[in-house]
Formats: sequence, structure tokens, C-alpha cells
Amino acid sequence: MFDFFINHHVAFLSGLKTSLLLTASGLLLGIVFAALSTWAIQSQKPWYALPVQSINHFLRSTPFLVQIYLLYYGLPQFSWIHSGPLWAFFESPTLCAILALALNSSAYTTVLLHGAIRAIPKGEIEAAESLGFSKSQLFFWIQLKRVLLNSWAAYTNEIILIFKATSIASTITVLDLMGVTRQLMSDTYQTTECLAIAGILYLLTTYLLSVFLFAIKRRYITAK
Amino acid sequence: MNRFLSVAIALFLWAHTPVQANNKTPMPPASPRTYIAFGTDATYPPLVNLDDARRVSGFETELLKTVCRNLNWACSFSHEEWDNLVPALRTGKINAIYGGIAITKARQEQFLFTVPLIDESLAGIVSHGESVLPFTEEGLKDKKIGVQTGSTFAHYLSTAFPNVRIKRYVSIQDALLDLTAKRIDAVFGDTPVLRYFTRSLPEDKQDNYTVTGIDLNPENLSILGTGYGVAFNKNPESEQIVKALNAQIKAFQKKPAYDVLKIQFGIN
Amino acid sequence: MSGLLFACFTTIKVATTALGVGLCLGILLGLAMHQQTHRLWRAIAVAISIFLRGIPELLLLFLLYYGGNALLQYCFPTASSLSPFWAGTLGLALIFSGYAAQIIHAALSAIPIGQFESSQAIGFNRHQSFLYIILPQIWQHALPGLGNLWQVLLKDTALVSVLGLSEMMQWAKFEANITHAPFTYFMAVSCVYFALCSLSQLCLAYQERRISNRLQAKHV
Repeated sequence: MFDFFINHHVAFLSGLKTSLLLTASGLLLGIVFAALSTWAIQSQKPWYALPVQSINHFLRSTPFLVQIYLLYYGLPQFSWIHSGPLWAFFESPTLCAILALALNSSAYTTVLLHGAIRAIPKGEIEAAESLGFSKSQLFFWIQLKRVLLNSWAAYTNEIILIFKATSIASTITVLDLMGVTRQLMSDTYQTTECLAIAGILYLLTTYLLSVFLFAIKRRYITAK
Repeated sequence: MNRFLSVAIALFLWAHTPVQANNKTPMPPASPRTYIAFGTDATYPPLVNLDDARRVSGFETELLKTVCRNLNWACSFSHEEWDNLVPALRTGKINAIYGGIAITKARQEQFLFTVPLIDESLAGIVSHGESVLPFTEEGLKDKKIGVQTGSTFAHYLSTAFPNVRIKRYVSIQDALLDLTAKRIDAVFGDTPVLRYFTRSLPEDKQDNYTVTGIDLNPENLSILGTGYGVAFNKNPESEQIVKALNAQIKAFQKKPAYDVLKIQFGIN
Repeated sequence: MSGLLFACFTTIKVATTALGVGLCLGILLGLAMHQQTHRLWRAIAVAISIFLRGIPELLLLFLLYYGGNALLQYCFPTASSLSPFWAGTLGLALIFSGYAAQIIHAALSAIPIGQFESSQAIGFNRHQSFLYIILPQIWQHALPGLGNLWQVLLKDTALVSVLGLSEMMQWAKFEANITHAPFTYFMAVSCVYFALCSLSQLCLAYQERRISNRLQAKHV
């Protein structure tokens, strides 16, 4: 098995790199979406909050595999997507996968953020308001910062979950670790070796990732 | 607690009731007749596909059924994803794989093949519009071609035209979905499958695609193969089975019923 | 449309069977993780749980489908092979149990040790006191967590399509190719999943309310 890994290590490692890249960009974009949708829900204006909430609910209640198929194979059914400027984006499987990951992650992150905001003591917000902070300043400088600190532990789980979810991107021709593994499986017919190596790589990465995230928590979050 | 237990038992029993038509586990033979479990990726109409009742059907399936009947063998046909076919054969989950599987030199080293089920080799390319892509390095330059992972077509393209951009898909159906989405310029695959795809389109859209057969010179044949066969694991037991199957297939191909079957499934 | 109903039935069957198997495995794993006396059992249980939570669902399904089959035939040469249904169901059950073990472990920790001691004092033996005294209480503490896991499980059933089981995703792919309307069909599948998830959410909320009512009634 070790020989097999040595022979194909370039492929495996490039797959792992793609997986990590998908995770990072999906999470970053997801945070942006989540911050925006939390802001929309907090605004308490129904024409912002209602659609955002129902979209999030929908994203949380449907499988990621179906979401990624909807984006990649489903959307080209509409000619306006096809002939419009958006097509440059949706043509790429990698970008579709990142968007799907971001949307999925933001739906869950919004719940975390929303919960963490409600956990902020009212006095803190009132104090900031009396100091003359505007609504958006209040949101970005007081609430968001506090919230990120509060919800970091739960967000660590989300990071691991999204990394594991990247394996589903292999179903839309993205050559991530899972995609590379499937390709090698059908090229070399060495099924067990391929799967075992992929399993070890995934386990190792999730382990290192959680150790790293725990260290961050100890260094920056718990200290405050 | 008792309620919980009885619910659990009920669920377990429920899960055991056979409801899936196409994925039913092969029943062991009642008599010592020869028993063969055929597996196929039934997404290759008209060669193999799932019918309305979600049973495995298609040209090759019907042909094998007839052959089995003539031999008085018990045969079962089940659907497996393409990626899973070879592992399933290797682990003994199924005894034989078929369904658009080209007989090539490389594969013959690994598997034992029957004679071709269709007596000609069929490779084609489907592309947008009326333009026929010349099947040369020059003609395919700057074009994105979709193929199925692990198929002979993928192997052929990457060896014959290393500079052509190839995209590999889990199944040919996914590749065709991406052709409709215009992400790729053409799909390289079995002509009957591609013709079936264009024929299943609404009338007004049929002209949007052109299927072209590819002239196969003997050089290409070594990779693309000499036709579609049934593959078995290499062992003495299989040799006996293949011998009997070959005789029956050849005999059947001389009968008019064979041509009727071909016309029924729109091959040629 | 009948195709969708049929496929939906398969999906529900996979999910409920995996829930049953996964819950039993999860309780066993959780108990082992809670062990005080046998350190080895605890270490093994923790390792299994970490493994199950560390690898992607898709990979575990493939591992079971190929590796599991080879293992089954190695142990029992006469055994019939692992069908896509059972490979998928077992895979989902294992993932469920990996997470459920943690929830059960936490729920066990929430139960005061006095409960166990007093149940033995009134004459229950170890198994009886677990079955009749401890387990019903674990249930109350673990229900919210297990409810979330059930929804994750329900959504993960879509992954079983990669093993060739004809559930809803597989149905949508075939139909999308015939009609060339992929969005419509994948959306239909989404809607069914949405309905199933919302329905189970309602049921769980009802159950949780009942349990908390009962708890409050006890305290009054």
C-alpha cells in the first residue's frame, strides 16, 4: 500500500490540496453570506428577513448532494443563465462547488451567529448605543466581534463538516481527494489501496485541523 | 421500552421486505442449473437501460436473456454504478459484467470475454449544431470533449490525442447533461447510446446535435476494441460458461430474430 | 410521478433502518465510552467514534461497499454479498452511531450516580436498573441531539445513490436525461427532502415539548 502511495503521491496530494482550497474558499464566502443574512434577519424588516430565513431553512433541510447537482447540472436549464454574464461563473465545476459549499455553510453559520447575538447581554448594546455607535457600527464592531468569540467552538465543528463535505464535489467532475481516488480506482483497479490511502489522508487532515483549531481556541478565545 | 423494541423489530422486518425491482439480490437457483448474476451500469440506452418498471432492459439484456433461455440457465440482471462494476465482479458480488463493454487487448488480459454481442465496433461523437468534428488532433484542438471515467473512450482519447482537453464523468448520462449545458463541445462514446440521446430530444431540438460515427482504422481497434462483450473473471469455471455462451450467441446472430431485436432497439 | 413515490419509499426505508441499527450501535458505543473500570474498552470506543466522525460519508460508503464485501466473504465464504442497500444503510448507521455515542455519553454524565445506586438498593440488578431506570432518563437528555442527528441521517441518504441504489437522486438523474429538464427534477427531489425534514422537525418539537412538560410536572 505504501508503494502504491509513493507511485501516485502527486495525484493524491494535488487532490488533497484541491480539497483544502475548496474548504477554505467555501468557508470564507460562507462567512460573508452568513454575516449578510444575519444582518438581514436582525434588521427585523420582513421583506429582508423572511426570504433569507426561508432560503436558509431550505438549505438546511435538503442534502448537499442535491444542492450541488441543482447548481451544476440544474441551472443551465435556464437560457438566461446560459446566455448571461453569469455563465462564466457557472461553467466551472470548481466555482460551482465553492458556491454550493458557501451557501450550505452559511445556512448553518447563520444559526450559530443568530444564537450568539441573542446571547449578548442587552446592557452591552445599550452601552454602545449611548456611546454614539450607529446601527451598522454596532453590528460590525460590537456584535460581530463578540459573536465570533462566542461561537468559535461551534464553528470549529462546521469547518470539519465542510472539509468532509468537499468529497461530494467529486460528483461534479472536481478532482478533489475523493475525485482523484475514484479516478485512480477505475484506472488501476486497486480499489482497496486507493480507498485506504484516501481514508488515512482524510483522517490525518481532520485530526490536524482539529488540533490546529483547538490551539487557536486556547490561544485567542479562552484567553479573552 | 417494550414499545421501542417492537418498533425496532418491525423496522428491521420491514427493511427485509423485497421492494426494489431492479436491485434485487440474486435468488439462489432451486435446481443445480447453471446460475449467472449479470451486472451492468444500466445507463446506456439502447444497449442497457432501466424500463418503466425499473427493471434492467435494453438490447444487450434482451439478447442475453434469450441466450440464457436457450441454454436453460438461471440468469439474473442487476444494476450497478459504472465505478462499482469491476470491484463487484472481483469480489464475486456478480459473475459477469456487460453493457457497452468493449473488448480490448488491455481488458482481455484481465477478463475473459465472450464474442461480441453486436457484430460491429461502434464509436461515435456527438457535438453541437451541424458541424461534424473531424476526428483528428487538429480537428479536436481547443475543444472540450467529455467521456466516462474508466471507459475505453477515455483511454483512447488520452493516448491518441494527448493535447485534447478531456473531461471525465461518473456516468455517460452526466456527460450528456453537461453537453446540454454547453460546458463541453462534444461527448465521445458508443454511437447507439449517443443516437438514443438525440432521438429522445423534443422534435425541435433534434437538429441541435449531430452524431458522427468514427472510421476505425486497425490501429484504433487495439484500444477501442472489437465490439461489446460480456466479461468474466479468469478461471476454469468461467471458461466453460463462456464456451457455451459463445456458441449460443453466434447461433442466435444468424437467426432473423437477431435482426428483429436490432430494429426493435434502433441499432443501425 | 409513481417513480418518485417508489424512490421516496426506498429513501425512507434506508433512513429508518439506519436509525434503528445506528441507535443500538450508538448506545453500545456510548456505554463503552462511559466505562470507568475497563479502560481498554473505553479507548477502543473513543477511537471508533473518532474514526467514524473523521472520514467523509462518501468514503465510508465506498469502504463498506468494496472492503466490507471482501471482509464478509473472507469471514463467511458462503455468505451472499453485501447489497447496495445494506452497504449504504450500514454506512449511514455507523456514521450515526459515531455521533450518537457522544450524545449518549454526555446524557449518561448528566444522570446523577445516586440514581443507579438507589435503583440497586431497591433490588434491581445491573441490567434491570439500566433498562428501566437509566435508559428512559438518557432518552430525555439525548432527544434533542439525536433529533438533529436523525435529520443529518435523512439528508445523507442521497449519498447512497452513488452505490447504484435507485432512490430519489438516481430517479432524478434518469428523468433529467430523458426530459432535458434537470433543474425541475432535482428541485422535485429537494422538495421531497424538505417536506420529510420539516415533518420530522415538527414531530421532534412535539416530543420535546411533551418531555419538558412531564419534567416540569414532576418538579411541581
